[in-house]
Amino acid sequence: MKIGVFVCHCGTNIAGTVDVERVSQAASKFPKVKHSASYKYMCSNPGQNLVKDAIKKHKLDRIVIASCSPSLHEKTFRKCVEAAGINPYLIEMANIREHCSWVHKDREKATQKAIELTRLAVSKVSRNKPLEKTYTTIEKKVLIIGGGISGIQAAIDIAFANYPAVIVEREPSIGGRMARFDKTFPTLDCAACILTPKMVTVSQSEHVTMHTYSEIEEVSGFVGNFTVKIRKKARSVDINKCTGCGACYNKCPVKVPSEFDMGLGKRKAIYTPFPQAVPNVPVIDRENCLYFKTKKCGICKKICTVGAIDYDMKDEVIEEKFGAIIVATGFNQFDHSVYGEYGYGKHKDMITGLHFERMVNSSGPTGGKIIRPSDGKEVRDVVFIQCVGSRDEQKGLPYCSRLCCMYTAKHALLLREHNKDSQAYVFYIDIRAAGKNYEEFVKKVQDEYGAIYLRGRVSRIFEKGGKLIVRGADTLSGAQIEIKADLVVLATGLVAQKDAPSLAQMLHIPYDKNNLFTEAHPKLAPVETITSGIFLTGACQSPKDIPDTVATASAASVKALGLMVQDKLAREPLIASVNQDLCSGCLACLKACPFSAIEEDEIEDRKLRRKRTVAKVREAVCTGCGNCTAVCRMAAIDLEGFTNTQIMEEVETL
Amino acid sequence: MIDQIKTKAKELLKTKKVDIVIGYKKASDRIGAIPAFIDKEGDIDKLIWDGYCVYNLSNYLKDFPGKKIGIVTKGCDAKSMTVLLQENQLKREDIFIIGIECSGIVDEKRKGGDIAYDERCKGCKPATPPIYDVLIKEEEKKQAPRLEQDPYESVRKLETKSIEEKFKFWQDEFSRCIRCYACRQICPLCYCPRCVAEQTQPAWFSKAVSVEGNFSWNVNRAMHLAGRCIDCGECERACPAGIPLRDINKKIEKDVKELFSYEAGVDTEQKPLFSSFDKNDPEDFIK
Amino acid sequence: MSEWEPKIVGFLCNWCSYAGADLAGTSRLEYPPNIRIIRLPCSGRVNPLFILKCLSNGADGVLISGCHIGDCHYSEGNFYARRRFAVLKKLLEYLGIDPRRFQMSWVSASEGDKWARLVTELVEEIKQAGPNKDFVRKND
Repeated sequence: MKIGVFVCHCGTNIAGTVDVERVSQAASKFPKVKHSASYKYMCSNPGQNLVKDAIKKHKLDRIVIASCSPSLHEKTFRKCVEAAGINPYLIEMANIREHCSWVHKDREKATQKAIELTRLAVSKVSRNKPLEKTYTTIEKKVLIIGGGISGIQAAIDIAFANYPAVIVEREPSIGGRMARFDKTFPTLDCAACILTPKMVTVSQSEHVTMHTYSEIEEVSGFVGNFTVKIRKKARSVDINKCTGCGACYNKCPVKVPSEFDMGLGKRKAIYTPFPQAVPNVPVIDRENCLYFKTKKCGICKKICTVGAIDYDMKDEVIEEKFGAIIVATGFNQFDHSVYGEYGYGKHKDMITGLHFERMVNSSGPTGGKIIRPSDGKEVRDVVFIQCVGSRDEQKGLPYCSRLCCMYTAKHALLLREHNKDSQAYVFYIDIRAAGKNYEEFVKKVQDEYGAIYLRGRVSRIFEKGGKLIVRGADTLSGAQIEIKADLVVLATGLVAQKDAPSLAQMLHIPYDKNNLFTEAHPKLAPVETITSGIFLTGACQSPKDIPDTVATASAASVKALGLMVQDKLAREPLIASVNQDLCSGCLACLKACPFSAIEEDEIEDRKLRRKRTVAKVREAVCTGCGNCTAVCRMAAIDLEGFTNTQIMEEVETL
Repeated sequence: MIDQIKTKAKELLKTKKVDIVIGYKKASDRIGAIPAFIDKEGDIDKLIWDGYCVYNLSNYLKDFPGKKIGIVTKGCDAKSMTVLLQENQLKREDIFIIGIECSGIVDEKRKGGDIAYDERCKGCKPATPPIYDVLIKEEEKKQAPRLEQDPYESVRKLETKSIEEKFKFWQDEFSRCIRCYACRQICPLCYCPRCVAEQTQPAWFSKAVSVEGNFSWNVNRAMHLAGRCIDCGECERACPAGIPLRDINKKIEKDVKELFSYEAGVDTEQKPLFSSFDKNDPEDFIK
Repeated sequence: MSEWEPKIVGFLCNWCSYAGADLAGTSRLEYPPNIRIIRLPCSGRVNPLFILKCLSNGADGVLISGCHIGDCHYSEGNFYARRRFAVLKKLLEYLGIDPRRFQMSWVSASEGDKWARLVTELVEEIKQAGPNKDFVRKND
């Protein structure tokens, strides 16, 4: 055995704290090590060539790279050694950057630790075995969770490549948040004008299936072979029979506040959320429907000429297989009730940006009139407050929601456009307008549309004489400001969906402390997750505006399509295997496997001269968690890549 | 009572329902009972039943592959059969359990005494085997006095010691271990084809009689019996060094009962302790 | 030895705790250099015998760290680990092993700060417990 050790400086990232030369020298004296070297950037082309050349020159057969976290470059170096003729599983990495140079300051101690971490990796690699990748088939279908602009774009991209896509959307229609917007910054195209054609494209595509009013119930399997249970909630309207004539909701006697219009308008108990809904098939809100409450009424059923109304419809759970999953579940609004000083809920004439979107929309509940909800009068002075929730570690979110500056500027512009006599006041902390034509847009709103920008926080809002008195400080002039406002608009931040953690747990993808889904790498893998085959797009990963959302949707689609075009999928061979001679057949492993990846097998016992039951791993199903190995008392089942021998060797070396 | 056992054994052999009956017979050279393996009707009279029938006979079940076995089984021993059934080591249809509602066995350490019941019998409440094909009851008058005794008295006593005292106590005990593995050989639930103690790739722990080797072996043995040991006491009885192994087994038995309401050997359909979990398992020890 | 420094072994799951320790690195959160991390796919991979091997090999402390309950990459691995090591922890203490020497934690991929704090505290605790002289090998 000839082990080669390669120590990376990572510029000064490692070499700044760790004496890499000493690590390399120490490593050269470890047992079985034939060669060691250090280099400025081992992952760079010259660095990789250095490894390849050394393999040839010194006839090395196992490699240790002492550098950064394996999560970053393990794959890089596997490929590198493979190119030089070594089995890619005969390498190990010593993480002397994230786990050493970056967390320790004392050069001597850090160097000592780096030496020991390298020794650990050398001991482990000495027990590595060459492994061959296994191959599985790929289900050529992509699941898209969420039917907002993100999911719609993804579906269009997948369909364009002639692969089937399935959208699961929990609302009765696709369209998501964008369907509620009026105009979009900075170009001021109307949201509906650019969104609805895409919705129609999706609905007409032979490659796209939509399950609206549906939710994900269970996800199992792995990349290429996910099995997903989808609950299709009882719509009470037969989607195949309904013609979308609208007679049912025109005649329905029950009126309730419309969620789509943020409660500013009303809808019926049988309804489509908005006129351009796709599919254009209503749903019965059973909580408010008279028939479901009292068994009386039944008007919609009587009036429906095609017999589409079905009061007895039940939830249906369907199971489908997918090769890849795109998560496009979007965002929620920050709950601003934590700001007592704004008195939200108390003041009728205080709304959020999303309310404003509905109000300013000509097809919205006010027909495009910007009015005071309290008395219906048109407004003149409007105060916009930015960063409601965002950038507030005490009460709100630690992060910037990224789009509030822009949508507030847009609101200020639309206000003036709708009412020449109006005046917008914007309280802000900083203006963040980093996007193509964004800064120019804000400038235009300030210069041409007369919006008055005040840098400071609002300290109090109260009612007086039918107006909202907004008190705050302008920190630039140092003046105390008091504005008599007709309407106050809160630019609430973006937060994760409430049930984001439970979806993440179903998908086995991580989420951060703000419940936003975590990408595999913040820079180099922004739409991937650590679970292969699952991709992220849109605001479920971090707040995003429409351009960014659409861009990530296409990015995620490319990633998914990259899987679709494969004939077969290489799987990491880091899975369990049974030494059946050692196996007693107690099947503790089978019972402890979270994936049902172990089955019974029968072997001829030469000693007992009879058949006996033993365990066997279903290789295509095993995910390599290793739980089976820890419950096996006879150590008959082991995990490749993390074998008992490897781990015990590591411990032995300590 | 012994007549009932004999009648059943005879019937089983005669009707060829079983090939062999495992029971107890008198030890030839000393007081006590030893295992009897009867495959001829003529030998049936050798069978005995008394308080000296201490051995857990389920240990011998694996010695007759492919044969149908009738077995005389006390309540505690039936529990080990339950575990063996759970763990796929027996086929229920291969064994006929002559269950004995036992009245307690004598403490072997006090041989010759009249009714000096074994430690573990005192806490054994229903002595009825959890599984059986026929149940034979002890006569009323011979029923052992079932004392309302804490089965974990000895464990609790040890638990109150300081960490240093505990260490010293157990190191003294383990220092006598000669790694003869009698505890393992006698245990009806130690059936691994090749015990980790003998494996070399990797060498899990020192094979030598040593502080860390003896400690590791004894912890390993106990952990491998967690949720499985049914307290038949064979290991402690077999230990030539007199190590109080039951105090370790009972400790785990007590902990898993308290932590997970888990009891070994009560139900053949039960999942193994470590191959199951509850979402609400305690985790106050986790940071 | 005048300046004894404890040696601690950490068995970390790849998806949460190892990534959390990586995050501590990328966030440049300082903590003492006493821990040696062994990366495993899941806390469920940890065999109780690994812990015994560490202790009898002279490790002063052993830590198992995995995903928070519900977050396991393999959905259930940490549930099994939790049960397994609840039993081992109590047993080791019963046999006289200082409970500070064997600990368990849940650290998520976003808890770099928790990781740094945890290791700092752990090293402090083990320092108080002193060197593990319980299992000095005879040939040492």
